[in-house]
Amino acid sequence: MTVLRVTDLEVGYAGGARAVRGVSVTVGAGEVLGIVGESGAGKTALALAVMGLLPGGATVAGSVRLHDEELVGRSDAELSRVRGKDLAMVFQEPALTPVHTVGDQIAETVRVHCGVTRAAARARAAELLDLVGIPGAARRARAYPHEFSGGMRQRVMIAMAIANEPSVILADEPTAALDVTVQARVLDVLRAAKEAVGAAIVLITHDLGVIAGFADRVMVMRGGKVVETGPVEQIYREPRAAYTAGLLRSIPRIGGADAPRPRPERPVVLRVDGLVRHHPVLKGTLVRRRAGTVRAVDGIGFDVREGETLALVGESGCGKTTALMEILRLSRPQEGRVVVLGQDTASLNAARRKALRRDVQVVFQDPAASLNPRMRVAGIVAEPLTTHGVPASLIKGRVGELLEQVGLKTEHARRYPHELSGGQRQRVGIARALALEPRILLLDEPVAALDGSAQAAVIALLEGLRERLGLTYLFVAHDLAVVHRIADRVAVMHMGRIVEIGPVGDLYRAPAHPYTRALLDAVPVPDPLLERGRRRVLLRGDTPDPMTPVRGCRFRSRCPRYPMLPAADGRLCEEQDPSPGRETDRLVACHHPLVTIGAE
Amino acid sequence: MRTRRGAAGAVLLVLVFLLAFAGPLVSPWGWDETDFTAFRQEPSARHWLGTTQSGRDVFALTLRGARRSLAIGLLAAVLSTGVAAVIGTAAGFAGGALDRALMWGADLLLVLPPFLVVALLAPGGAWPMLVPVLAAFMWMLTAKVVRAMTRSLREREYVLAARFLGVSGPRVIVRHVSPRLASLLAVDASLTVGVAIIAEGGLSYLGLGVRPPDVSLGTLVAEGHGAAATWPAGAAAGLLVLIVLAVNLLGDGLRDVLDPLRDGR
Ligand SMILES: Nc1ncnc2c1ncn2[C@@H]1O[C@H](COP(=O)(O)OP(=O)(O)OP(=O)(O)O)[C@@H](O)[C@H]1O
Ligand code: SF4
Ligand SMILES: [Mg+2]
Repeated sequence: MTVLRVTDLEVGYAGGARAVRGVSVTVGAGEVLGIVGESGAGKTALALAVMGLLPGGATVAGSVRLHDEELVGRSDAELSRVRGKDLAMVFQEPALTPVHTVGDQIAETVRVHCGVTRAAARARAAELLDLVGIPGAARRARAYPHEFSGGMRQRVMIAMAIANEPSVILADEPTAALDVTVQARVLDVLRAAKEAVGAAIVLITHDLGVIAGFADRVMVMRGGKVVETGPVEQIYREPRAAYTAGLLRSIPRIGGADAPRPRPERPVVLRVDGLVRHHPVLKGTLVRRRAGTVRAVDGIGFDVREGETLALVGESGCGKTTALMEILRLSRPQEGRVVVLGQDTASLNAARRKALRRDVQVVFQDPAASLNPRMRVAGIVAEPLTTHGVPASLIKGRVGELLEQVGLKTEHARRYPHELSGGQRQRVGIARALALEPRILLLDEPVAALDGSAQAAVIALLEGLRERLGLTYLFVAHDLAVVHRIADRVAVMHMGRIVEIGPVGDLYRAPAHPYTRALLDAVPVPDPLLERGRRRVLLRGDTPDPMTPVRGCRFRSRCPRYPMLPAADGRLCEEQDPSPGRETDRLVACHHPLVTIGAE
Repeated sequence: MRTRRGAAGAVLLVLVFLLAFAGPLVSPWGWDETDFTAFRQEPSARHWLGTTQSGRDVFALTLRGARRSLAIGLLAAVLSTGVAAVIGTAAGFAGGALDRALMWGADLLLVLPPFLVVALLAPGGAWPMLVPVLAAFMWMLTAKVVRAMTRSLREREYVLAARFLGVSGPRVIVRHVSPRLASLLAVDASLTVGVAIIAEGGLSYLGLGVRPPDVSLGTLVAEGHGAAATWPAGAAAGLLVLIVLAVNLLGDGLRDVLDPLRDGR
C-alpha cells in the first residue's frame, strides 16, 4: 500500500533556482526509502516541500498525496495538523527549544495532536525516551536540551517524531553531525522506533554506507532530478546510471587485504612525548574561580617518520584538534616535549620559530572558515610568500604554479573564496600550505566538510602531492574509511589519550583495543549484503564528561569487554590507568587487549 | 538602499561644511563684530538671523560655533575610536598581562567622574586641548567591544592559519582582524561625533570648554537657556541636529559598505 505519493514535484526558490525538477516517487507502508545525492541535488528542498515547510517566496508545483489526500496548496494551518501527527520530520540539527525540558517538549507534541491529560502525556514522553534508549528516562525527561549530547538530542527528536505514531517519517541527514559510534546508535534507535510504530521512513543522506544498511529502496538524485530508483541491492550491485556507478566508486572503503609493510627506516621528523594540554574551566561572573579542568590532551606520544602518514582518529572532543594546535604553536607545551625536525620546540627563539614555520604547515577542516573572506585567492596564496620575504617579482609566478599544482586554474586567482565551491576552496587552503615548500603538513579533517566526489578528488590530490613532494602528513580524521585509504599508521585517541597505535593494515584487521574495535564496527559498509550480515559490538553510553576525573581506565564506563571480565581481571581496569607504555611501532593501552601484540 | 542613505549623509555633511566655512565669506558681519545699533533684533535683511542681546550677528556667530563644534566633534570621535581600536585589538589579541593592564586602565577611567577630572586638568584655554580630554573619556566601552570581537576573531581558522604561517602579530591584526572591525568602528565614530559635540557644550556651560568670546554650538544652545530670544539657540540647535544626522547617516552607510556579512566585499 502506498502511503506517500509524490508526482511531478517542482520546487523553485525565490532567487530563481530550480531546486527540484519533476520528481515522482512513492513510499509504501513501513518501507524505508533512501534518497542520496551530493550537496545541491535538491534532497532537502524535496523533503521541505513534502512537509510544506519551504521558506517564503518558494514555489511548489505538482502533487504530494499522503493517504490519497493532496497536501500541495493547503494552508499552513491545515498542514500543521498533519505535520507531527501523520508526517514527522527529523532534521540534521536537532531543533529543540533551549528553555523547556525535553520531557515537556515531547509531551507537548503528544498533547497538540491527541487531547490527552498532561500526566498521560508526561508518562508517554518518558516511555518514548526509554524507547530511544535514554537511560533513566523518567529522570532525564526533566533535563534541558543543553544537558544532552548531540546524539542524545537527535534521539529526542526521533522520540518526538514517533510520538504520534506517524505513517511517514522524513529524516534529513539525521546523523551527518554525529560521530560514527553515535551514528550507529541513532540509526539503531530509528530502526527500533520504526518497528515500534510501523512507520515508513524517508532517509535523506549523502552517506552511501548508511543507506546500504538501512534502506529498502534507493532514489539517486542529481541537480533536482531523479537519476534512478530501485531496490537497494540492485542499485549497489548493478546501478543502471553511470552517475550512480561513479558515486559508488568514489566512496572510500575499508577492506582490500594489504600486506603488512615494514616501517621504512627513515629519519623521524616529528616526535611528540607526553604532550599535555589542559584547559581551565572558569565559573562565576564576578569572582572567576576555577571550576575544573578539561583534560583535552593528557599525555600523548607518537612519532612520524619522513614521508609517512600518521592518522589521528577518535570521536568528537577527544582532543585531536587540540593536539595539532599544540604542535603548531611551536612553543613550550604545558608538559611533555614536541620535537620537530630535530628541534625541541621549547628551546626555540622567535627567529628560529619563524624559520621552522616554513617546514610545518596546516590545512584546516572548514575551507570556508580558513580563508579570509575579503581576500582574493591570489592574495591568500601569496601571503606566506610575502611573509617569508620572497621577492615580489617572483610571487606572481609562484602563485600560478601553486594553483596549478592543486588543480586550480589561473582565472581562479582573481576570485574571492565565496565564489568557489567547497572542494576548490580546500584546494586553495592546500596551495597556501604548500607555498613555502613545507616538509610536514598537519591536516585537520581536510575532507570532512566536502561531499562524495569532492572528497575523493581532494584525497587523490593529497596522495599525489605526498608522492611528488615527499611530504609527511599528520592527518586528523574521524572517517575511518578515509583514513584507511590515505594513512600508513593510525593512532586512536580517546579522552585525551592515545589508546592504540599501529600500521593501518594490522589495526584494521585485528584491533587490539576494545575502543578501536567499536569504532571500526560502527562504520557502515557501503554494501547492503555485507552491512546487514555483520555482527557488531556497539558502545554503551556517550563519551563521559571530560571534566570528571576517572580512576582506572577512562574507557571503562563504555567498554564492552570490561563487564565480561572475571572480577579479578576487572579490578585491574578499575584501579590502574592502562598506560600505553614505551613508544613502539604498535602499542595498545588496555589491560586485556583483544589480540596480544607480538613483541617480535 | 542603505548605501543611498550613506550618500545622503555624505552630501549633507559636505553642505554643512560648505555653510560653516564658506558662509562667512558672504555674511556681511564677522562673528566678533558688534552692531551697537541693533540689540536683540529679529531676522532682517541687515542681520539674516537677527542679533543677540549684546548686538552680535547670530548668523555669523552660529557658523563660528559650527566650525568649532565640527572640529571638536570630528577630531574627538576619530581620536576616541582610534584609541579604542588600538587598545581593544592589542588587549584582545595579546591576552595575558597586557590585556589585564589595559582593561584595568579602561575600568578605572569608566568609574572616574569625567567632569571632575576635566576640571582638575582644566585645559588652559586653548580649544584643541578639549579634543584629547573628551576622547580620553569616550573610548573605553568601544575598546571593550573591540577586545571581545578580537578575541573571538583570534580563534578563527583563517587568523590561526596566518599566525601559523609566521605572519607577525601586528600584520595579522591589520590584514585579517581589522577589516572585520571596520563596520563597528564606523558606526561607533559616527555616534561619538554627536556625543562629543554635546559633551563639549556641557563642559563649556561649566566654564571648562570653549571660552567666551569664542563660541561653539554647545555654548550657543546653553546660552539660549532662559534667554528671551529663541533665535540664537534655535539656529545653533538646528545646525547641531543637522550635523549629528549627517554623520549618523554616513556611519550607517559605511557600516553597510564595510559589513563583512555582505558577502565577499
Ligand atoms: N579553550 C577551551 N577551553 C575549554 N575546553 C576546551 C577548549 N578548547 C577545547 N576544549 C575541550 O577540549 C576537548 C578536546 O577538544 P578538541 O577540539 O581537541 O577535540 P577534537 O578531537 O578535535 O574534536 P572534533 O572531532 O569535534 O573536532 C573537548 O572536550 C573540548 O570541549
Ligand atoms: S583496560 Fe579494561 S576497561 Fe579499559 S579498555 Fe581494556 S578491558 Fe576495557
Ligand atoms: Mg577537531
